[in-house]
Amino acid sequence: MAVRLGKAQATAESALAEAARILAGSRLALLTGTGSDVAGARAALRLAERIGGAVDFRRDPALLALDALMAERGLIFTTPAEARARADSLLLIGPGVARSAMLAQVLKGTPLLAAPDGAERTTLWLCPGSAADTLPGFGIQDYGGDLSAIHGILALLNAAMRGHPAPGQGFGGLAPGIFEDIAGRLITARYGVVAFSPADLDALAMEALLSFVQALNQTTRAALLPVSSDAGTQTFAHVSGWLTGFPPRTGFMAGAPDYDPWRFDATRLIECGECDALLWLSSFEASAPPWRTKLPLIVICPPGAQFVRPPEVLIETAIPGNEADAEFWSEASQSLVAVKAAGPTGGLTAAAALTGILDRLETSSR
Amino acid sequence: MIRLKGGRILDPANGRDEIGDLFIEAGRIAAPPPDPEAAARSYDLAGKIVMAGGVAMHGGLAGPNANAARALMRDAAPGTVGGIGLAYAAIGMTTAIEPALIPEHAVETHLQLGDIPFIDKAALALLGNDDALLRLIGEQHGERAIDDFLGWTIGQTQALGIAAVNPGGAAAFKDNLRAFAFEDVVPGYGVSARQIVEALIGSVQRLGLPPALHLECNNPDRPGSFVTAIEAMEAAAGLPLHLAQIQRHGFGAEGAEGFSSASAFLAEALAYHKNVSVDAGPMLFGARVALSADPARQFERSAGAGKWVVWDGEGNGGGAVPDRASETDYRHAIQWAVGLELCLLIDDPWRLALTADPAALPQIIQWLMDADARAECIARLPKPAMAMCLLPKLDREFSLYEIAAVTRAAPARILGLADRGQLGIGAVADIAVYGEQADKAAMFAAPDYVFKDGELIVEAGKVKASRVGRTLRARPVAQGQIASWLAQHDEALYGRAAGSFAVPDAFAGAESCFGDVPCRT
Repeated sequence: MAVRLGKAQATAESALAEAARILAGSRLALLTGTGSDVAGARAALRLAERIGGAVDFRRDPALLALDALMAERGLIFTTPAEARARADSLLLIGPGVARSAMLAQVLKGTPLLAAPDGAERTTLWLCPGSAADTLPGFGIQDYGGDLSAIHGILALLNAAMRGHPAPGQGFGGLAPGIFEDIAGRLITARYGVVAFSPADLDALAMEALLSFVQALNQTTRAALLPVSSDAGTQTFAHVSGWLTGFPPRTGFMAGAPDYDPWRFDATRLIECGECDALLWLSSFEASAPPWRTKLPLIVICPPGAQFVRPPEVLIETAIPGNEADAEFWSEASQSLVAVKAAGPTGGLTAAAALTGILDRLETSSR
Repeated sequence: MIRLKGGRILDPANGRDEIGDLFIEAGRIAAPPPDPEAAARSYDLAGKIVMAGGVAMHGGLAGPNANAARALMRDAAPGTVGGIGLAYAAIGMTTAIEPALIPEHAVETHLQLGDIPFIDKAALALLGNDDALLRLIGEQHGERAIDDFLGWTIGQTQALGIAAVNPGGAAAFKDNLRAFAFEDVVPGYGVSARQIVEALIGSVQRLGLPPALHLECNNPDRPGSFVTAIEAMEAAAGLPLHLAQIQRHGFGAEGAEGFSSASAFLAEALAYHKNVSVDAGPMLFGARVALSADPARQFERSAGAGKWVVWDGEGNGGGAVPDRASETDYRHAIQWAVGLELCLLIDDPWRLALTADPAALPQIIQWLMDADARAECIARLPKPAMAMCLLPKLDREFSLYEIAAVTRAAPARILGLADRGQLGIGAVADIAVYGEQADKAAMFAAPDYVFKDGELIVEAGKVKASRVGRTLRARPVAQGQIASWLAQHDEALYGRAAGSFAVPDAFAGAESCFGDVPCRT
């Protein structure tokens, strides 16, 4: 694993010292990227706190919208394992669910807990779009529907559940009877699960879906199953939650963490010129920042990233769970897991690199 | 060696209430040296009260339900693990328990516990709504299989003991049962809450886990809930059992509102069932977030709440529901009174652990020690509610010695933590020193000194040293024969490897944070 200063090979020691020098000289450093494992996220937050930096590891607006829904309305949800074992009625919304390995695991299971007598699961798919036919073999009933009309569709679904019929001509590519059909199936289900990818829905649509499931629970049981897969950002959000009280986006300029998704949006900070140094942390994948910027750049990621211009400091690190033992978010269980390295390399971890930078800041400030 | 000189030592575990010296060496309470004046450091504690560091029995410290509460509190001041540790340490509590570790979230729970500074922690693993246990009971696999499963669960989750919250009721809620009484049967398993409780009590006893089963009974907060708690006491049949959050089971159905105090019945039953200990968490009025691993109860609570989180897990799940306890609300007034009544009516302090949010504990101690302070609050509450309570008639006032018992000695003994909650030679040098004041809330909110493992961590409200404590766990001997059954079970039902949530002895890049607590023999 390489360490570089610009184009030149360097020692880890010199790279850590140079990174510390850049951060110490910055007025507002931005820490961003695709996230890290628990130890990496913890070290990044300590570093951000020390330098009064801004942190954005929640660059996906869909996940921000899900965070906001949780904070403002709450959520009613279940786990993938319970959905697999119990859901006798499964409603999929949008094409994004098809990309989820976790959802495939749910579909593979038999709902033994809902139907000990051997009744089968009904799986419906609304607005599958281009992903229709991508989950063959699960007996999914494709209802069609136009994702761009999802707000109206969910409104009519909510209305149908409360006994109000849909307009005679249908809506959003769906025949009028479909709304009552879907609502009826979930109302009569023993345990219904509604799976969606936040990437397919905006805040309003997710809220409508939550209302639908909340109302179902007045008479039967149902739960949401948000499908999200990004180990690095999900891990970061969890660690940030217990250490700071907030998921990213946060700033530490005032010492105490300040949660502000608009102000600490990485793209906005860079485009407005509010930050003057950039630390890109991407522990699970070799990736480079998407912005064209002249800001001094520190990159901590596995080997293989392609850069428009070489970063001032590049520290390549071991992939968590693959090359180094680590704890991180598991899509399959939607929880944090501890994973032994498949092939430990003894390479530098992100946490070690970030702690190394922090140590050099402490030394230089004495 | 450190000398704590001339304080009034209140140490119920060793029967001490006397002016004397304490000596600390290598993080432990040491025998007095031949020459006490030779101690490297000496604190003059004349006129001060010296107690062991407090043991908080029922914390709600970590895990997915704490995360949910944090998300819902984003606009207020969400708690952090740093804040939790500081809040306990600042009032002289040096050990706190997460009473509802959800096995599937054991890794995150322990990561969070590990990041809580200052204090020692431990977690109790939740069972009793999970398919594996219900099946082992329902299909009559026998005691050995159940013991094996509990032992395996403790090992995977690095827990100190076993807890159950609404046993059977959270599973039944997934089958749309909204209430679940002690003799009710979980659909699909043919297993009642009674059978689950009996199986867990017996197995915990056979394994010799340090704490007895930590049980939050079914149907909390409801009129008539005291009956369920008494049924659980009877089910224990003389074996050790701990009933958690007992104040939620202190309600009868008397009066015009059909909601009344039944704490006298509970206290009487407890006087009879000497094998049963309890923790009681009297409440404060004001904004709060109800945190629980019981999704059924959380859903019931959510009616009328603006925002709430409820989730179903493979076993318990849970949720968070913000609300406000109001002094003008009849039910809230009864709930407030019942929490205090139970503490005042239970005459054996060894079986009572006082437990509350650290921000609330000093006020609750004041109410227990000062009948006038209680009367002041009673005067503000609805008279019809107070007419259905005993509290206005109770004049008992706790002594400092009794407070030391219910906040230190008793919870440590109930949890099986022999090395703390007491100030005997060899005990962990967790010590809180308070300046005696008439205002007990002020006194217990601001200790003069707090020592953890012999290190001064708080002095006059200021942090003197930051440190990270240990997470206490038990290591029962389990046969391990359940592993192949579990592997098949988890693969068939959940499509996962059994123990995919296992907590390693040390997290990546860190030293082990665990401390082992011996099992009972």
